[in-house]
Parts: sequence; structure tokens; C-alpha cells
Amino acid sequence: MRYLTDIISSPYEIIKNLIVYRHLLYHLVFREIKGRFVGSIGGLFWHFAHPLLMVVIFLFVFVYVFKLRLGEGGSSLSVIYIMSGLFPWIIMSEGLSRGTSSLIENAIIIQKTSFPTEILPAKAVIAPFLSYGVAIIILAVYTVINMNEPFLKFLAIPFVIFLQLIFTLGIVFITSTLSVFFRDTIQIISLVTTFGLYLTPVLYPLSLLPEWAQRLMYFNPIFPFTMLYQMLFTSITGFSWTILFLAVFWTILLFIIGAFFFFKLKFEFADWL
Amino acid sequence: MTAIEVINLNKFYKIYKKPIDRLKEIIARRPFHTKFKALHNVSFTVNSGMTLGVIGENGAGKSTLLKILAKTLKPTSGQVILKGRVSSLLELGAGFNPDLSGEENIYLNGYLMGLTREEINKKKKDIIEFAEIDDFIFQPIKTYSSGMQVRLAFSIATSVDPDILIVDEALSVGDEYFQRKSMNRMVDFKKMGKTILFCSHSIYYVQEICNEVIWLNKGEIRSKGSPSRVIMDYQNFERNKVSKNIQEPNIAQAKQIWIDDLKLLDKTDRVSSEFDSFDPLKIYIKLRNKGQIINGHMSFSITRNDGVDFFGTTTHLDGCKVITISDNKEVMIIIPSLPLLSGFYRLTIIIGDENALFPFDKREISFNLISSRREFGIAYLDHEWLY
Repeated sequence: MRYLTDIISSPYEIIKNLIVYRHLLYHLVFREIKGRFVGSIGGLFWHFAHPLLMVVIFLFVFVYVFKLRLGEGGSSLSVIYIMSGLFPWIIMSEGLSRGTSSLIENAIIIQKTSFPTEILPAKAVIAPFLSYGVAIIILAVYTVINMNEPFLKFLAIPFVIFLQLIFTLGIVFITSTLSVFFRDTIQIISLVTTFGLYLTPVLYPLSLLPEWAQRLMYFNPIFPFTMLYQMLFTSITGFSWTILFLAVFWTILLFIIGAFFFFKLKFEFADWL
Repeated sequence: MTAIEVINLNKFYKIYKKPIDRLKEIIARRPFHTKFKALHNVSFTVNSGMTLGVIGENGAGKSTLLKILAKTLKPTSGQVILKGRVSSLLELGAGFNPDLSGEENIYLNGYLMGLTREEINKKKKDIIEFAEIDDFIFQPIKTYSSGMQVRLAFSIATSVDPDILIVDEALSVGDEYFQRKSMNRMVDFKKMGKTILFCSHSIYYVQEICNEVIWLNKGEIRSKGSPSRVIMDYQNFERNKVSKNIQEPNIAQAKQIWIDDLKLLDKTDRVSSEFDSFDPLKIYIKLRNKGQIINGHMSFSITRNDGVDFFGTTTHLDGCKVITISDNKEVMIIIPSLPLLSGFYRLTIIIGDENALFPFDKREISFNLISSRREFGIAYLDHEWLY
């Protein structure tokens, strides 16, 4: 019973704190983005170089070398398919890794000043969504112009991005809390984001997987999100309510668990950092 | 009305030998740590508008207490009730980002304290003015001298108009001019009826501005009450520790002649061990002599308990005639007015031979001087102000 009230109140408290301290949040997000390209000559270039190169190389390997073709579409459909899943993946893994280490990196501020610490993982997750989210929008515009996809479908993109943001935040609340007590969490997350990409149908369609692996995919919490993007950007598979339901389910579940976990332990941070 | 209420506050730290012990403890569900008590059953209340001083040695738990009050640490058990907006000056400049300019850091710190952009815009000018940073405000903080950083941090922290201000060692940094300036600002706060919790090693400042003082020793409240009383207790305690390290010279125990009795008498000739400044003091000494009558000289000295000598003299130095030491010989020393200020003192009597070279016996007695005067130091110095 005692836990039940905590489970309801902690997500509420966290959202309330994020709203009350929104000025600090804006400032930190802005600085996180700005900090990436201030002080280096390449500036903006370096900020986008890594994800762009990654996308280009994957496209080269999978579309040009392996000749991945989806249904009737030519190579451009494969390109859009891969990019629509890869962009959200990059954003999420960036948010995950930065978010997980956000508490450790700001140990001094946490120990010596008092403010709601949930701001720190939140800004680390929000920053890549803002700075790279542009790429998803550009891809959407390109797809609408070139691919004969119904325009109305793309109005759902902001909703999906928002859902994914809350989902990532939920995971980061758990991982960043764990990282305070076990620094190993950071290494584990970096493994998960590196190899999870190959275990999720992002660079290949779900239908290429054997039957048993396809069924297993429903237990992969990230899968419904990449799938949602792929459904919106291409018409390879029709719209599936199950996938949308799964995405919403994981988002709510992880956010509540994450918020509860974070809130239970956040006052211990200063002692352990 | 109480502004701060602290009830049975405890803070224990679990000390692990190895990081893996933490994991073992969770899995095995039995303790793998040793407990360190940083705070133990600390309770006090502060009425609004009052200033409470916190004193104690390094590691006594002062910072832990203030951090719990500032809500950066969570107590192990116990309750803290704070009424109103709290601003804390714990380790000034901790929220600074060295790469950002002074101006940007004003915003960052303001946001950290939960202010909005508009509120900070209004206060910015005052903050810069008080900190006396001038044109440097547009330079990155890393180019500032440490004094400038502290000035800016103090200026920001006190600009938020809190109801409760928590200050830790803030004034021990910065030059004297700024120390005075920040002290004045604290006094202004006090005049405005704000509640202040003040922790400092500077006993002088604590005495100046606090209405009440608590003395923390090893995580527990050792004494609390009026500043002069608690500070005196604390200083006596500290001095005792110092004097333990000073070696006492050995006296040859030629027990043919010895001091049998040593008493301190007050103005009504009653034995006492507590005196006020300018009280008369009579020292009564009884000597025994088991051998033949001989001549001798006597000395007396008054030493504070940290080993600082206040005064000492001998009958020899004073040019008095020798004392003929017979059995049950009584000696009185009369001090009409004791110019000492608060502290623990030790009176030492030595009886020696005719040439004041060889001591026969030495006897000590302690007394406590609780001064009703507010001056500081060992003794009262006659003085006059001229303008």
C-alpha cells in the first residue's frame, strides 16, 4: 500500500519539478547543445559528422553492397526504411549514454547545491532529441515530396517523437540511478546501445527474421518505436495497433518505474557520488 | 514562531572496505559495513528572526548538519522542518561552470535556485555591483581570481531574498574588505528579521551576530545556549587539548616541606572556584614542615588552561623578606581586584628555598572565571577613547 502511493506520486513529483525548474532545464539543454560546437573549429560539423557518417556507411553496406530491397520499391525505399529506423535509434542511444552518466558527471553540483536532480538526466535526454530531431523532420519532408506517401500520416511524427522521449527518460531514470551505485552501468549501457542495433530490425526488415525471433521481438521494448517510425515513413507493412499499444505500454510502464526508482533513491545520491 | 525545527536528527555513514561489499550486502542481506555517526540525536529549534551559530572542531558534523538543512543530504532518521524560502551558502561557487562568463553563471545559479529569467534580470545589476566584478562579468569564470569567484557567489546567493539563510564558512574566504562587506550584509539580513544559521570558525563573528549558539562535538550537541557561555565552554575545551601536549617540568619531591592546603576565597571569605572579573581574590596557603625551621621564598602564577601565562611573581622578585617556614605556617596572597576575562585558569603555588632556586613543593588549583564583561582576551586593560 505504501509503495502504491509512491508509485503514483513520484511521476507526478518529477513532472512538477521539471515544470517548476523549467528555466534551469532550458538553460542546461541549450548549453548542452551549444557546448558541443563552441570552442572547436569544426563546430556544427563535428556535431553532425558522427551520426551522418554512421548513416552513410550503413546505407553503403546494406543498400549498395548487400543490395537490401523491400517489396516492390527500389533502392530509395530501402534508404528511407533504414534511415527512418536509424535516426531515432541514434537519438535514443545518445540520450541513453549521456543520460546514464549525467549524475556522475555533475557530482559536484549534486553534492553542493540543492535542486531537483531529475533535471540532469532530463536535459541529457532532451538535448539530442532537439538537436537531431531536425534530421527526422528533414527526412519526413523528403519522403513526402518523393515517395507518394500520404501527407497526413506524417502529422503523427511529433507524437511518436514525444512518446519516444518519455520512454527514453523512463529508462534513463533507472540507469542513471543505478550508475550512482554501480559505475559499471555506463559500460553496460554502451554495450546495449552498440549491439542492440543489430538485434532490432532497423537495418533489415522484421520479415527477414525467422518466425521464433519475430515473436521474441515483442519483448524488446525498443522495437515498437523503430517499427512505428518505419510504418510512418514507408508502406512496407500496414499500420498496426498492436505496435502502437506496445509503444504506449512500454512508455508508461518504464516512466512510472523509472520515476519511482529515481525518486526513492535521489536523496542518497549526494552520499554515494 | 519557529522557523527551523530539527528533531532527533541522525546521520550515519556506512563505511565499506571494498566496493564489492556494497553488492554483497544487497545480495546476502546482512551488513558488510561499519557505521560512522556523523550526527547523533541532534535536536534544536530556531525562532524566526533569530541567528543560531554552530561551532565545533573540524569533523564535528557542522557541515553535515548544514547540508541536511540545505537539503543536499538526506538524514538517516529524524525530521527537519523549515518554514519559508531557504538559501544556502555552502561552499560558495560550487554551482559555477568555469567556461561560462560571470553573467551566464549568474543565470545558471539563479536557475539552480529556482528563479525565473525575469527575476534574475531584475537582480543582475545589484549582484554585479555588490560583487564588484565590473567588466570581468563578460569573461569566463576561469579567468577570475578565487576572491572574485567567491564575491560573485556570495552576491548571487544572498540576492534571492530568502527567509532562512544557511551560511557555512562563507566569510573565511575573500579579503578583509569583502569579509566586512559580507558581514554587513548578514547583519542587514538579521535586521530585516530573517532567520540565519551561521557556522564559522571565527569565534568573533559568531559572538557578534548570533543570539544562540550550539556546540557540536563528535556529532552530538555538547552544549547550547547563550553565545558567551557556549563559546567559553568550547574555547576551554580546545585549550585543554592544547595544554595536554605541553610537558610539565618535574619538581624534585623533597617532601620535608610541602604545601598542605591551598584555597581560593572570595570577597566573603568563602571557598570558591568561580569568579567574575574584578572580584577580589584571596589565596590561602598552609605549609607543613617536618624538619627544622628554614627560610624560603614563594611564587604564585596564573595560567590559562591552554598554557598561556597571565601573571607570575615571587616573594623574591617583589623584594619581600624571606618566609620563615615553620610547621602549619599560613600564607595569604591578597588580590584586590582580578582583571581577568572569561576562561579556565590555573593557579600555581611553588615554595622554594632561600635563593628561590630549589623548589620544595608545587601545588595547583583551577578556577573558572565567568566574566559578565563582553570584552575579549585574557585580561582587562585600562583604556580610554579619545576622539
